[in-house]
Amino acid sequence: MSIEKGYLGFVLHSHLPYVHHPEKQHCLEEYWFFDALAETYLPLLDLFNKLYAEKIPYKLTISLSPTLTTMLLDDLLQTRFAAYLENKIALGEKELERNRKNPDLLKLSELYKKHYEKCRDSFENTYKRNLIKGFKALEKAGCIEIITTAATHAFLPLYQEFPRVIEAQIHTAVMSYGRVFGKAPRGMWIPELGYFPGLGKYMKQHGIDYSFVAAHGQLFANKKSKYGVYGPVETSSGILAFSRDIPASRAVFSTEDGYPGDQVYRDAEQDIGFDQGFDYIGPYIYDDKIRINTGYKYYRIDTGEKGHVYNPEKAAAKAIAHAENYIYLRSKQVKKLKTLMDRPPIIICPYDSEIFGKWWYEGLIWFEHVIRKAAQSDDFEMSTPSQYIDEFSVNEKVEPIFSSWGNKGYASVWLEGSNDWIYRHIHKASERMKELVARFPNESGLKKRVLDQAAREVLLSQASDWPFIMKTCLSADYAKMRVKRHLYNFNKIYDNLCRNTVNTEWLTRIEKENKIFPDLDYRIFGDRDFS
Amino acid sequence: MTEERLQLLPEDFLRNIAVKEGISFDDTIDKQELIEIILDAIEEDRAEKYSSNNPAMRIKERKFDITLNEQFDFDEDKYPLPEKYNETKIVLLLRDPAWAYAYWDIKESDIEAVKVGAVNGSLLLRVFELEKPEILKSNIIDFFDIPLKINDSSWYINLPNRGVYYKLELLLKRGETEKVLCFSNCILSPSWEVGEMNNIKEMKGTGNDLLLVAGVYDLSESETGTKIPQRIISMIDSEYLE
Repeated sequence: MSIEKGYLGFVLHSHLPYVHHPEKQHCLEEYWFFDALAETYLPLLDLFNKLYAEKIPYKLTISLSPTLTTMLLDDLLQTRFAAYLENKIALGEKELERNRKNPDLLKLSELYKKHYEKCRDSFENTYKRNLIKGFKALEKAGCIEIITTAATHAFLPLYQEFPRVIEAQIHTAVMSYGRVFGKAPRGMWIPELGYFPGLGKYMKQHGIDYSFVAAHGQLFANKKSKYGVYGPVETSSGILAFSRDIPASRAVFSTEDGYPGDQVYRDAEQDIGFDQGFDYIGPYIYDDKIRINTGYKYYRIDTGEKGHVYNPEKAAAKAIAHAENYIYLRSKQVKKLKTLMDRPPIIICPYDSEIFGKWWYEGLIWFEHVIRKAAQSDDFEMSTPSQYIDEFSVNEKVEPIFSSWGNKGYASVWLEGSNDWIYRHIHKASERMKELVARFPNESGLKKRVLDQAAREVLLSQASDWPFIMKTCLSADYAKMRVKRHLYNFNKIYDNLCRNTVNTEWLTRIEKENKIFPDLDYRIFGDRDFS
Repeated sequence: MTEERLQLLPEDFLRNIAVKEGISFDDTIDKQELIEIILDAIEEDRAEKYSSNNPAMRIKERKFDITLNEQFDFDEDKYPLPEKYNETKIVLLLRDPAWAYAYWDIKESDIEAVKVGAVNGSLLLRVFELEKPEILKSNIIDFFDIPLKINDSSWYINLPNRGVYYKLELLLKRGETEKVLCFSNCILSPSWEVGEMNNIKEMKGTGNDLLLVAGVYDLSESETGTKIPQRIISMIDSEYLE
């Protein structure tokens, strides 16, 4: 690290809830995963590999949630994703024919078809269906640092009164990371940046060195830190907390005053899945009748009128200009900060990975050029929290307050009228799980299988995604069903254990459906120290 | 949900959707009118949900936004959950510096106690504001009561002050007699001001430039940002980075 320069710490948070339905031939919600793979994760890995091959120096942090890594490694989902790509390519063939008389549209059809063919090539040949290998190779090459997050992405502040839940979420995440990556994680992304005073101690006891908090989580603490959000603070437990930089985040996050809202960019809403008749589009949507995004989008963001055909060259040029602007502003920010600090500032820029490609189509071009230009900057270089704390191990002691990156900065996204009903049931299931550990402290064989599955069901019910979808998305039924089904499964196991009966056929079925965390030990919910 | 999709659904199913979604409609209207009412309600809901999200949450929303056609196929009774757990217990959850949420359960025997006797009892939620996280006389800053109905099982509580602890008592009251059914856990209402600061706007020029570079004046993280036609973020830099 050079002390003349500042540091830019990109953190890409990568997460999806566990969606795995072997009991169905196909499942609408699995498209969350497939779309993210095709539009973000495969292109992002390809981009990182391209930059590495060109010897462009870069360093960034990626958090991969245990639920996402489980899905990335799942045979059934890999097979279904391969079929998904074939379907997209087949649609591309039809689109080439449909648009043959319109050169502008035809060019876009070719672009999209090639994109899906490239995805297929990368998925099948480069990564052999295993994207985890791609991430591991990049980490080995020193380009990325992979960190983890809570096991099923629970919003932890709402479990403060249930310490075994927090212990179980973190312990399971660290175990899962160890199984997938063969080592221990140094960093942990707290789901939704949901921090509360004292959370650090749970991470500390599992060897986590650092985490992240919302800017106001640190700035509103009782003690003001010397470096503001441009250096980590040491929490009361000893882990270091890096704060999200608001200006750097907002430039990318906001469609109102950030880059992605530029009218030259592609409109994500206008998709032929919603425009074409069923006779044409039927085989390429869900179940021939549920209209979904197909990825074939021909219009740019504009005033709502159709006919403004998307121009990828113009959009790419604007994305590069926006990358230059971003780097220019970060340079100014670093120059200013260097006059205010006696050590190099680190600007933490955390983004949801799906911004790049899926949410903001040109975001991948933007990100590529940010990395290229950062490599040439005299003012800063890309770095990771690990590198920074290895260099600057002594930091001010400040305990961040309860905070998150959700709307209004606290818990109101995950606790409001549409979703508050879930907590009494999830909390109760968590207490009952603890009770089961006390009653059956040393089980093996079939009874251990039953108890392990009970623990799995409790963990899966706790995903922050379910209350989020209930509050935010129009289609909340799936989220309600998931919470109720996991709790129902848990309660059934609890009742069966009270009666000392086990329905092995049913157990085997739910084990297949919810086959996450294969080495989970139900005793993580117990009182004794399981670390 | 698109009009096309609604057209494909039977009228009875549409009426069930409307009831389930809490949409008011006149029983005499025909299918087309019902579809229009449902579409209006969906659009209103969509706009309200969109406006209540900040940018980070909108990106998260997009993860799950793959179709306009919501599925109404979940049978609410398929995975029943217990209505009560027959225990007397109250849990207090902090939602933000100004609001907390409490849920409780009351044992059947305790509920019966409310009804027994010449004078019917009532339930009360007593909210204690505390200096330290224990209900001791010396710690109590203030308290107030919220009258409850016997069937209530949760409540959102406005927290008057920041930087203090809150704890609840669930009480059975009969005449002048009060019986504590249970206590909640204790929560600390966090500050919503920068440490050792009173007025963010006064920070400029007072040695807190670092906070201004961090965009502290814009911490609400809600959609109040200035529109910038060129889509170039300059609001912070022009003012504070020079």
